[in-house]
Amino acid sequence: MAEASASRSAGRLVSLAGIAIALVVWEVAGRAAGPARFAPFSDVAREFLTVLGDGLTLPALGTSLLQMLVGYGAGLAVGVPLGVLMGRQAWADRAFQPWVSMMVVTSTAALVPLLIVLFGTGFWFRTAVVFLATVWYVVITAYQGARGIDPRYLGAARSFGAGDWQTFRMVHLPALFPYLMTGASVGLAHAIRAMVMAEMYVLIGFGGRLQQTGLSISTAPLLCSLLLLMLIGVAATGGLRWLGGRMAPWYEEARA
Amino acid sequence: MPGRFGKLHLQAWGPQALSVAVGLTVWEIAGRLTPAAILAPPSRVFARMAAMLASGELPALLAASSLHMLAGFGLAVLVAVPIGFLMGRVPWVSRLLDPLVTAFYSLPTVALVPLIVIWFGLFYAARVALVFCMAVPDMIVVMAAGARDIDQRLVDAGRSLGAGWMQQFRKVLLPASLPFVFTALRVGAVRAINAMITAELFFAAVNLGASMKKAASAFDSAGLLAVLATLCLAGLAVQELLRLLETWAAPWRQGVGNG
Amino acid sequence: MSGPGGRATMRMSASSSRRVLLRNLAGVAAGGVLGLGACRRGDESGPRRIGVHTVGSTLGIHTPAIAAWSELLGEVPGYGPATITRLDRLPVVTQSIISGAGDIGDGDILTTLRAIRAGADLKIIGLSYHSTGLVIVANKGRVPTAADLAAEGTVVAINSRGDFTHVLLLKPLQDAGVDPARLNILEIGGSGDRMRALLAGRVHAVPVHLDQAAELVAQGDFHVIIEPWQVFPTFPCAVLLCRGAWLADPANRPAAVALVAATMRGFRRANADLDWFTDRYRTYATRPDREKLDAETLRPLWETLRDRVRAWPERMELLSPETIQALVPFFRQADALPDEVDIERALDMTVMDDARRELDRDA
Repeated sequence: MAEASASRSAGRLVSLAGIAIALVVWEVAGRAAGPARFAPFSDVAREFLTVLGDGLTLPALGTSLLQMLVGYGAGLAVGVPLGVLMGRQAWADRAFQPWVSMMVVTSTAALVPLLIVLFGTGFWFRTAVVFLATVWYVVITAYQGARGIDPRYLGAARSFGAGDWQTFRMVHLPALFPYLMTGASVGLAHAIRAMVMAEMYVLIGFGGRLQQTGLSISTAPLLCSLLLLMLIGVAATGGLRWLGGRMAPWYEEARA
Repeated sequence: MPGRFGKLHLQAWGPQALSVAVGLTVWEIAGRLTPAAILAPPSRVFARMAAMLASGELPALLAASSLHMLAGFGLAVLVAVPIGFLMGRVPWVSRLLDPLVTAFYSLPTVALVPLIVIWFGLFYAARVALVFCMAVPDMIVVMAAGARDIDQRLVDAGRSLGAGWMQQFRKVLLPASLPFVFTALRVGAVRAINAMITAELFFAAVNLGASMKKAASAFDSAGLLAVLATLCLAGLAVQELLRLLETWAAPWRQGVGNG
Repeated sequence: MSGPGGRATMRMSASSSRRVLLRNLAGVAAGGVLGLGACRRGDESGPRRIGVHTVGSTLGIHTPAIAAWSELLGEVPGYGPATITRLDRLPVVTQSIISGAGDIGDGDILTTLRAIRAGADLKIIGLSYHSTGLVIVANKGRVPTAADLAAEGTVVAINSRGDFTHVLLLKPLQDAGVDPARLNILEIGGSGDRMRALLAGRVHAVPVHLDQAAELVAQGDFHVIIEPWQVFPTFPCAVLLCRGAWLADPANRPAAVALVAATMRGFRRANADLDWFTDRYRTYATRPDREKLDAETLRPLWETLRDRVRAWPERMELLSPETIQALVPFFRQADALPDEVDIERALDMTVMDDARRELDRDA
């Protein structure tokens, strides 16, 4: 027991060490380059504390993230079943693969004018952007996972008389779980970025503020917004992992 | 014989043909319903593509754009595959790099552009840098996740058979990682193709990006969609190529291909 | 003297942001299920709120128009403050009006004329400001005079080829006897990115807003090399546009007239009252440091915009078929307009006429 907690704290120390090194490099590079080129961490930290307290940025960010969840959720809800279907059924693979492969390389930015025509410039536009940026990556990851399920497990389940739904729950889901987690993490990163991008096209909320930072000669406001985004990304991924750990405890134990 | 051959043909190409036909019909209808300046129907887009192909313009632009894409993608593979693999197999490497990778992964491309301009300028080097930045994080995440999930029984089996470190790597880890290496390559290639165009829109506009910009500002929807369609087909081709490569490299992998 | 809404709006923002957050928590739970699709209709009852689509940045020159749409329009019986949607780029503004996502667009003349040529049903109905608030700032050492813009190895960054920032460069070069074709142009979207490219020495001249030019010049090695209003005394570029079909609808035409009239009133207030201008600048400008500015700091900017740029013509008299026609040769030279466009048909003067009549009546 003591060993496990000791190794956990050692692990955390290593993480902190990594972050600390990065911050030191940032400070040194920033001082050498000057605020107009790359503001040092100290400048950005000061700006960051101001922004946290201004009562506008954090609520705007919170609103954006909540709205992002709709598009992200839709991306998972559509992407996972579609990917699994494509992975297990040849006809689905052949039917959908061309579109998935083509849509995933399309920059959502190029579709913005069309999306404005279809969805206007409000919440549904942003949700559509998030959905389109997320769903294809989720499909691909789920697809790769579903392809690799060992047929012997399927055979064994069937020989025990398991029906289709039971087979899905008992064999498919656990085998898929790692891929679903990866798909969810990759999807989440794309969803957050897409949310910011959508807010930079129809300027509102956090993305709108990020756009404004371009007008300032010092790079400190820009880097401050980026720092905030990075923290959110780390927090969101951590939250997702925790959720995954709760849903599938065996997964965490089996890992290195 | 003709009957059997005909049936095989339908089975093989039926779903694909149907799916493509449905998609094109939806597009054609949408194109007729929206104003011409917004969405051109497939008929006009394909006509434009054919013209651009015939004049040699399209292949030339695509080739020029591919240069920075391949350079950036190559660099990204060289960096992401080993780092991702190590992160998946060696716990302290993961703990060290994970927060940094996740943090970098959260940054939208458009926010990186000013910084890249300052450090790399506006031309080829900047485009390569952008492709690299866009492809690397996705690949690392996929590689790390896959490396973590290599079936422990295979590793234990190898060890119990007395395999040394090198043998373990070549005979157990390498083959077991091929599936997710290919997933990582696919995701990375997709990001790289995306980045290829983004780089030409955000920095100095050249090649395909310049063509898109010109079409966009002239409200020439057919021209714009012609470039986009070319990119989609190129992306499709690359992914199919990777799929073939995977089948060749890892034929033992059970999959739907034979079902 | 602060007008209605100015400071109060700012004080309310923090707590209303929190309220918005809480509202969204409930909204996402319920709204996700309801899925109403592309529901662009506003509330049918209550005062009419015109949907205006404009570009992201609001600086000094844009302030009177934005203030007019956000406040003065709301004082007209039957109308509320306009719903202002900010878009990233001018072409997207034009596209969103074409698609019906917005009622009236605050765009630019070049994009609009090009769209009309491509078959879009658009009408130009007024000005959101006259001329431009941009100046060309250049690297002192590399570009001592305007003629040096076309020198070997010198790079100028503009938004995109054939847009008005490109056109701005042509006449000074012509006047200096330099062949504009020798201009070495780089297209960089985003004024922030262009500015960074200049600071990093990657390019040698960029268009920058007056509001920031002083700050840039103070950085040391830069100077203002072209003031467009000296080169083009009449330059109607920032136009208000709408769909022809929308305008022809008798339910919409009065709204268009009301908006244009409110804009003219905004011009009048700005020309007469520095304090009003300052207060609106502090409310609406999209600069991160806007709240640190006061009337005396803004006076030079205000006087330049008012007197030298003539940015706020109270009867929009600087927009007419003749003034546009005078610019067409330069548009053609920049390859901005490949064909002839029927300007008489594109420009609907009657909306401005009606707006002027309204103002005269109220005077």
